[in-house]
Amino acid sequence: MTTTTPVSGLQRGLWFMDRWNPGSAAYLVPWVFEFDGPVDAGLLHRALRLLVGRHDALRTTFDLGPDGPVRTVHTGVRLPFAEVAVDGRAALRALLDTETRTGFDLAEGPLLRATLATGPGVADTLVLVVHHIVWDGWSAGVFERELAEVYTALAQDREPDLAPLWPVDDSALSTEDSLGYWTGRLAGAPAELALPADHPRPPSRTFAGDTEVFGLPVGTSARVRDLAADLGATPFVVQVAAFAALLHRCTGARDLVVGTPVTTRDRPELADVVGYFVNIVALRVSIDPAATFADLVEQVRDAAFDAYACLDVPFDEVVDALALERSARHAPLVQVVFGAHAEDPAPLRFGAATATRRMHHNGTSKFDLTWSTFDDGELRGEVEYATDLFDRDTVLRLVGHWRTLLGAALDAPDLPLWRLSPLDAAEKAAALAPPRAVPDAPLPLHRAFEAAAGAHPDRLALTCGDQSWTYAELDAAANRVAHTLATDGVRRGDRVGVLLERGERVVTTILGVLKAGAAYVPVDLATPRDRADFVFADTGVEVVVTDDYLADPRLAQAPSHRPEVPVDPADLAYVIFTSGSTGRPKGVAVSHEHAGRLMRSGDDHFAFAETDVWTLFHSYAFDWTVWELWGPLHHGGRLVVVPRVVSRSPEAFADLLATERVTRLCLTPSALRTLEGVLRTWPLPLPALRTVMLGGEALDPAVVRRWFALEQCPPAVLCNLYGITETTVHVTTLDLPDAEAFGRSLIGEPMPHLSALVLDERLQPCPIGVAGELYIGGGSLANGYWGRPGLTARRFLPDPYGVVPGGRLYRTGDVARRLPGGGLEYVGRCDDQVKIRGFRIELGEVENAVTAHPAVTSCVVTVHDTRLAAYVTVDGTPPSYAELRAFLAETLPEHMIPATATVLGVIPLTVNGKVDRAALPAPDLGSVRDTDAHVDPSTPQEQALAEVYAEVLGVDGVGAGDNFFHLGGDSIRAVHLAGKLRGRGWTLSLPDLFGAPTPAELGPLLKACTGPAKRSEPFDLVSEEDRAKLPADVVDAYPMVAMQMSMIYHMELSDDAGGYHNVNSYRVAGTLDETALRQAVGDAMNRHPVLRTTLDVSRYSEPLQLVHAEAPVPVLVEDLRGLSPEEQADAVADVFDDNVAARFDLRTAPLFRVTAQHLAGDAFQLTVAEHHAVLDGWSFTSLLTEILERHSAPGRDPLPAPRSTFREFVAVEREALASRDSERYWKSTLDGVSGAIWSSGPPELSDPEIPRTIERVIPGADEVLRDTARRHGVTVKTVGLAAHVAALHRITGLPRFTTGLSVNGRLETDGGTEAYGLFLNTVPLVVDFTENGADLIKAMHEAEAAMLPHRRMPFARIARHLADTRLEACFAFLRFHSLGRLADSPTKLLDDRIGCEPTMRYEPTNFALGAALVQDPSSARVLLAVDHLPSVVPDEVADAYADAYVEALHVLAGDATADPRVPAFAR
Amino acid sequence: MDAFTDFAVVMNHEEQYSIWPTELDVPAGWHTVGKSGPQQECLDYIDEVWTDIRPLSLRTALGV
Repeated sequence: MTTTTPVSGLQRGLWFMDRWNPGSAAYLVPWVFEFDGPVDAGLLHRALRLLVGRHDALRTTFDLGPDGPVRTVHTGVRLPFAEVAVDGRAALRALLDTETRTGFDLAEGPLLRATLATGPGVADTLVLVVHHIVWDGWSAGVFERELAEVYTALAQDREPDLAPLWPVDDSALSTEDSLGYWTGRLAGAPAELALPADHPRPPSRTFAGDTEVFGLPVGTSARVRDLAADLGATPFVVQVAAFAALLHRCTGARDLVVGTPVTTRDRPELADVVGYFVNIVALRVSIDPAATFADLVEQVRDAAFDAYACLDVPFDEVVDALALERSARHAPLVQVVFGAHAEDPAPLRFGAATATRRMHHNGTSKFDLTWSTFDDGELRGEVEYATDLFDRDTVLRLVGHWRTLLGAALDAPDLPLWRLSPLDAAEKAAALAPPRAVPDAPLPLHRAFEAAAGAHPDRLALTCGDQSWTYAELDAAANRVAHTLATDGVRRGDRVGVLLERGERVVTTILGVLKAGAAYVPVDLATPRDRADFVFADTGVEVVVTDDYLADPRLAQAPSHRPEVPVDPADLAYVIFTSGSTGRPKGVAVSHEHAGRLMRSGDDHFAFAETDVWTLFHSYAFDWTVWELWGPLHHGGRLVVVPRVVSRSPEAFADLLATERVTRLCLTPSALRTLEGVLRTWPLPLPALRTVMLGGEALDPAVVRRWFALEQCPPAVLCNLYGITETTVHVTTLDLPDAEAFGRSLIGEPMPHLSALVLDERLQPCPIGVAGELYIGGGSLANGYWGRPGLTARRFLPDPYGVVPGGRLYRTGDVARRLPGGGLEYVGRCDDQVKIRGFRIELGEVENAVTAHPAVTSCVVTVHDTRLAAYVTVDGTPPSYAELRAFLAETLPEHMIPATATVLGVIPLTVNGKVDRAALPAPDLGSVRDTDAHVDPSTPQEQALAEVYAEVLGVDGVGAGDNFFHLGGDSIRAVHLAGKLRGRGWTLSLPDLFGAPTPAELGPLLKACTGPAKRSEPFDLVSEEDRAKLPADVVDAYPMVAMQMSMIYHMELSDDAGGYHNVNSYRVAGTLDETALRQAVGDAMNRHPVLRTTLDVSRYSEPLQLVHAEAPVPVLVEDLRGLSPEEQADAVADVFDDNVAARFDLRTAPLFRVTAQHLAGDAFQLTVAEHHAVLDGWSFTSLLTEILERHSAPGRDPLPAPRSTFREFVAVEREALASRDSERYWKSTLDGVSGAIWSSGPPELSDPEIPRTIERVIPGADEVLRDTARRHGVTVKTVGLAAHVAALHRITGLPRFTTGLSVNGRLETDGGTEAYGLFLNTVPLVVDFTENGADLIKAMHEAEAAMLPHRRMPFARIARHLADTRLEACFAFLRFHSLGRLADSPTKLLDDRIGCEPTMRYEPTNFALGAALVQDPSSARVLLAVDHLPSVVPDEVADAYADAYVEALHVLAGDATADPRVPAFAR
Repeated sequence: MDAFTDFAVVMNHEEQYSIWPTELDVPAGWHTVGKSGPQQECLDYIDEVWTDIRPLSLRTALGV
């Protein structure tokens, strides 16, 4: 006999992981026994079989039931056992790898298999592979002990000595207190711990992994124990505290969550049982770097202590309760796990042989990192890591860091955490390397030029347009400028302004100013006058060299010899202004020696030569020109001035590069992108070009890729130069010989004269890979900001790590990380780090991802209204936002995907060639992902998804853009979703759902599935005994559902069969054809078993419904043509009354009948009576539609049989009755509240009362409902419910009350809506009325969503949790889609109210007040129908309800924040 | 740097001023000048006393 029960809460999580990645090897426990002597395979097999028979867990399989996963314990012992001969160790290894990487089918089982490998050169080896869902670390100890004992006993032919096993109940439910602890403790916890990884997270984790083992210094275990004892903690706590401290160091995170596995074996009967009794505890640790390690240990100790008291909540349930944003990219909440384990390595005896055991790592990883330590007196460790993210070296480094940090913490637990370095001495030395070279004080800049001019007087120094100057000529021209300046009073140490049109004069002027002993202060001509005035005033400039100044004839008359002005290398050479954060520009004062050291260092790297041709491309107000000027002019090379007009025409510029045979080119990446564009459409080989030096802004890999992909790529090395004005132009260099070398924003190594340190916020060195702020030290730091001592002191700090006493360190404000292979990666600006929804985002990272799209040529990302806004330029057709979004979702987490993408013709640049963020337009909102607007699903996949979302989540009107998880989806609903889709013929992989949670995104990922879903068979639900008693003509039978039973119970008790007897009479347009009508009704009876069903409450072991092979076709036809309208009306009323009076005999089929009366040639009356126990509203209207449609088309092929049956619903309801989840839900939700509103005391039995009916057509309600629903992101039904609640409150004044809600329990299988029957249920909703309409709608939405998974629990059962087992008010939203089909049919219902209502209706009710909002599917018109029992709810109260309902609806629509109780006219 | 709250005003042989967290040892070649407090207070002090950001040797050479 097998038994099936829901899985334990703990198993649920593992089961879900298996559904996520079916048959994955990640949750296998691969376990290897190595014997030192031969073992007997037969005995081993017997011993294993005996243990499989002993432990239920090893005979258990897992599958999805209607309420979630269930497990079945089988009686038979099945154990795959193989004996394999292996030849040598390599073959054994291969066998182990194969064995331990093959997963299990949890639904099939068995979940344990064994292989015994024997052969030459290898020890006898037993491989046990077991699925984690039935196994934990403790089980291993139990199992291996028992296996050894049983084997030995069998060998010795004695009874094995095994502990008795006790029944285990692991079905305990979580307590509210514990769940409350977890949700409180983890509220707002970060969703992801972003460890610095070697590879970006793939869009869906693969579970690929590897394992590294490591040792710790001898004695560490004892030291950990000692400290733990001192602090009243366990050794685990000390270890995990050190680990958390390391995680903080690696991520900067101060709020982090570390998972830890904890056994839940807290009862003696669990001691000897095999099974899964492990919970993952999410330890949330708050790191204060200023606190001591001992403080941290105490904090973790207390957190762990509290957590252990709340172990009854499975981790999975915690995750669901937190409603975390789910992602396919990483495990929810916990990505890093730390476990400390004790270990008993004592060998086990197997008869004569001894076994040693070990885990065999099978290339998987359950989390990003699982850090385990084992203590057998000494500590050793093991790291399982996701190879998606980490390389082995990185993990080894991390291990080293933990070892160092733990050692430091044990040495000095009372030091603040920030002083405990994870870096060892060698790593520190590497992190803090000083400049490699300290060049001597170089010549002043103009002196070095003069030296070159002396060496090459006749070489060309300068070209501008068609004019050129030799070194001697340029020197002379500069000397004349210097003499003129001196005449004007300029002296050594002065500052001279430069405000010139771009041209050769810039060069002569700069040289001239320097020769005069002054520093130049350049201002671009494009600079606003005010700013220029500010700059010159700020620097005490008295002379400004302008084009007019130079045009003065006295220049030509000035002497051409070099002026005799002494200039030291320490003299200022220039003051260049950059924009300041406060808006006030700041002037960076740079000396000759600073620029001179840069040029010397640059020569080392680039080997400048006299044959070089450079361009002067940039504004001389940008310090790039320092490099552009002296690169050629210190070495005898030639400088080609790029005139402004040429600099503005990419084509002309490219042409200049070709004709001047330029060898060295300095560009910003933006300019490179432009040049690349030109060369793409107008290929030029540029054979002379040797180096393209890129700087001024972050270089994105896409530009580099595109450059090297050029058809005629110039033979130049690209060099990325990272630089800062304050440290004199350039800091680092990285040569890029090809596109391969540049995957992300790498900036290379510091130039030899500088150091580049990555430090944390306490100036401590960051480990490799960890982002920190970049600080620059060495020989070319500027003097500071002219006239801004405080600002200078803030940015130029003492260098604590320098080799030159008194040296300084410049704080860049840039974020960088050191790379494992050397060099630096530029991460972004400290200020560009934005926080959105709590996530720290580097805009540069987003920009790089966007630029990787093939159509995107450049991108800037900014923050606009707390959302990311992308601006792109494109080549060809721009991608749609949806397409771009899908592309980004491959590499970026959700929170990093821009909310808008605006296509620009060109990205605006500043005069310095950098992106001008201030000039970006407002985001193109047309490109916004429009989450507010409802988009109807269009493809069959989208439609299927929208419907299944609606079914699984119990919401209406799901659009193509609706997110499954935002609508209330969770992991188990996701599995249900997959199941439902399978029923509809689609296969869904769960990771796809998590990565693409909207129908629009997910649709294309669905695959048509093969193989049918399980179906139930006739008589499945009936016992053998009952079946034997059934009459011969019965073709199927199944138990009655709870609603049917309560209807019949009521009828029996009240001795009146009329209680659930419905009669509806319709006036129909169309010609009545009696034969066709009979045929239509008969066909419908053939298709739908309920139309041939009788009900029997007494003859069988339980109340059954019997489906008969056939039943008489109950059609009666009268001809009223020729009668007057009055006579016709009377005749119709008579038929109606007769039908009301003529009750059905439950044991005689059919339980419905149809009367048709000819009224005219084109009109007839159709009166349908039915027993409510066989047809609900949906079924009834579907039947009506089917009959009328078929009546109009008698010749057509018969309709196919429905793809679902009422029997299936009966089965599902029985499962719902057994659902502990639902039971718990209703118990905790209702908790003894009363369902009564108007009555008090216990319900009295009374005769069914015919209700009075109020009907109100609500004009415009369709739009009102739809708009309100959309605005609040809820369904139309919810808005209708909120209005009902508001109206009930209005007429009762009650602040808290209970109302029923009519729900549909139909199956979500494909074709689930095709079966007829009674699928209805009424569930109670407890309402705490709120005066705020928006809050009310939200509360109703949440209540509905919470109730949905439990809606199939029959009301009869739910009512037990109500104080008085009854409900007095009820609300239903009815929209019978099938009636919509009649709009296009030759026969249609005639109804001048909303279009689908019967002319006469007899539907008794049980509710004192039952309201239904009925929407006609074709006209969308809306009718409020209120049935009330006047004995309980007087007419005037019901009328007031109807008034209040209509009003509430409009108040909610108008201003939902307003009090829905107050009539609109009163406000 | 941002994690520190208390700073001292420090100076080197070139009479260049800066600030330094009191929690850390003063780097070689630098000395405190007797002023400490929150960062802004130290910077305000420097704004007051350090009138010429050029290094001492340059100022000497220029005779200022």
